[in-house]
Amino acid sequence: MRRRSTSLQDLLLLLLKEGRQRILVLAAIFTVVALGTLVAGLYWPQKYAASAAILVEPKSSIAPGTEGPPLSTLVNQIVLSRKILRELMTYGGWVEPHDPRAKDRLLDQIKSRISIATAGGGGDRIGPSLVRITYVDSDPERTFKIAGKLTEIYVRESIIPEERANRQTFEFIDGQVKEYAKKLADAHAQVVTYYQAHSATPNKPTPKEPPPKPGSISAADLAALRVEEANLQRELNRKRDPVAPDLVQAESHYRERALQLQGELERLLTTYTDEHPDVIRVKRELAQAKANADQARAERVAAETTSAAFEDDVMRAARQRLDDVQKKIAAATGNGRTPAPTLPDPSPATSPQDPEFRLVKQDAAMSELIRGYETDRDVYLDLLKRREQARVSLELAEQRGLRLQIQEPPEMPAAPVSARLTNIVLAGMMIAVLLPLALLFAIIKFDARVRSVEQLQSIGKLPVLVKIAYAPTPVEERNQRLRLMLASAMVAAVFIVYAAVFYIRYTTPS
Amino acid sequence: MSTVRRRDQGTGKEGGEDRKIMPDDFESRDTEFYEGPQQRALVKTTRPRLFEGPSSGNDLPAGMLSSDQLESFRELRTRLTLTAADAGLRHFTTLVVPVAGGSGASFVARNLAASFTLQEGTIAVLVDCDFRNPTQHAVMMERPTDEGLSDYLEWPYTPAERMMAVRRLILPTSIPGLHLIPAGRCEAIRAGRPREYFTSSAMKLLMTDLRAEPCFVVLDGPAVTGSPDARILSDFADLIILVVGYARSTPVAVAEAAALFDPKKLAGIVFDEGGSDGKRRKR
Repeated sequence: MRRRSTSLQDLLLLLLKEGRQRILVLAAIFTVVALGTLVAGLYWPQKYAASAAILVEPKSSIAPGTEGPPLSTLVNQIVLSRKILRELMTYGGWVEPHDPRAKDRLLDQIKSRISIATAGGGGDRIGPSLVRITYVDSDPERTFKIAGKLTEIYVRESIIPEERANRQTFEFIDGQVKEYAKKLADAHAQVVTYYQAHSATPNKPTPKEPPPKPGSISAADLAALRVEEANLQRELNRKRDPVAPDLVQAESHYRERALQLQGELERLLTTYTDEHPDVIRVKRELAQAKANADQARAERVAAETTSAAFEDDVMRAARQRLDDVQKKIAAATGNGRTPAPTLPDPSPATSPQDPEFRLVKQDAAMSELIRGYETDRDVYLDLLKRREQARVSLELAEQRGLRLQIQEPPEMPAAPVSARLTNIVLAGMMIAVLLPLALLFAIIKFDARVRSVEQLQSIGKLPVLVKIAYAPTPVEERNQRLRLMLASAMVAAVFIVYAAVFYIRYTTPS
Repeated sequence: MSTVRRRDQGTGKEGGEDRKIMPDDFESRDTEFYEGPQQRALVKTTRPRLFEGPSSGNDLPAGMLSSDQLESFRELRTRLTLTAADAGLRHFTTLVVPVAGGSGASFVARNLAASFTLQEGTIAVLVDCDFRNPTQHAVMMERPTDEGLSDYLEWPYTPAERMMAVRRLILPTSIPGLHLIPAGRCEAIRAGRPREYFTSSAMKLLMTDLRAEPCFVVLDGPAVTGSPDARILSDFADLIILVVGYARSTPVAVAEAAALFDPKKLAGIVFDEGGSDGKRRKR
């Protein structure tokens, strides 16, 4: 312990001695570093930062067709794309350089100033995530402007990718629906026209054609009539499916959403005023949900009406046809009771000119038309269902976009984020003091030349007779005093310059 | 060394005794020591003229050395005297050489020589053998002279002329008892033509003359590194001191320099804390 303290004392004495010998050099280093740091601090570019925090709501699990990479990744890439950067360049007031390379450099520079950080469940698309967009610039006003614009672009670009795909799907299906609606209307018109053209003829008794006598039609025609009767009865007995269940589901979904938002609004109003951003947002969403619900209801009613009208026409026609067929069968059998089917008569008693045969042919054409109509109707209903799914997806995507909530809008930066002059100066002063000391220490530590009797004694071969202490001559003393004064003047000048700079900086209004 | 020892044996006064030297000693020792008529004649004619007289116990002028430094040089002188006494030497020749230039060896040699004269009745002579960087004449002479040892060694004197030259060579200083042989012009060295000054017969004769005197001879030698002159001069010395300046040499260089000399002659190291600036302090 004693030896350590002795060596420490020796080290301090050596530092003092070396420092005294190199006082001018050390003072010069101190002065250069201190003043250099001051100049650097004065001209250090000030940077301002403005950031906005956007809360991204979790994705709805019922929204189909939105699989893919996380939304935040996509939007980050979009926001940092050249197109958006050019938009920012124009918005920020930069003069667009003519040189493409200079333009690239400017865009890269703008890009390097933007940082988008996502926290929370945004990466795996589960749970809410907080996206923080930060922009750094030397101009506080431009920083604020660009940060606001970036937030707006982020929200805009977050909505578009999802919405675009859903809208395209919806428009395609909607086109198909319209096409099949037209086809269905045509088929319906054909059926009605055919029915009006042919159905009245057999029922109208004409003098030329006596009422059919029992047994006047062949067994084969009778069998055909019976088959048609069975088909018509099956058709009439078929239970009517509910029209457009998806429309019903969508309507109920919107209703539930409206109720939910109404509850949230009431809850918010107990705490906040009408001007609060959350209240405004919920009101807007509530109005949207109500509008959607009304629209879904109107569409459902329209679909039901259309479908019912078609259905009624078809059913009426089928019922009349059934009556006709039953009348023919009754006439053929004579008592209105359906006789047991008999084997068809192989004799060629009928011919194409036979009115009964013509009636059967007309019935077959009618069935064909009905089948075509039914096929079109099935496709139409299926397309309606798909269109509603697409509409729900589109609405959900839009709804999700609207749920991008700006938690923290950007604010005008009041203070720079870069190091302040005081910090730079303090750091520089510390370096200015420590650097000469470190140099002295390095000289003592790494310069192997003999500086003490102990080093000589460690050689071990020769005795150290005496140590001649250093005592400066009067001339040396005078020179040393001069050097010390000069060094002191340099250090004092540094402090005077510092004091002057800080006085001017903090007393002069900027 | 043999000359000195023989001289001491002749007087019957063994070395190591720090006896006060009296002016009469010069005459008595001379007649006993130098047996040949020519030598006696030489001594009788030259000895009293070589030095003006012994010190009467100097006090160094105030302000020349700090008290710590003065004590250090007194300590050094005492240690050297004791070392020489162990070897049977009463008066001896000390070679002071730095390991590297700028270590303050001239300062040490000068003040060591002066410290000998602090004792009453002593004579010391400082010989500036550092031809590459001679400084002693400028420090010790009020009116520095150009002539010196190098001029003496370069000139082909006859024996008679040589004695005259030697008398002119030894110059008194402001410190009583302390004499100086300055380095001289050193023209060959300055012209970049190294010359064998110290292996010459003139140098040997000069050293023989000096060692024959009851005085302390201090040779201010050149740096060990870069020239063999320090090693050549070590042949004339009884004791050798290595001077290490502050932050001038590494321990390895010190060890290598020490290995160049006869260990029996190597008295030790003097560490000069003021030797780092490379400036010759004018003390």
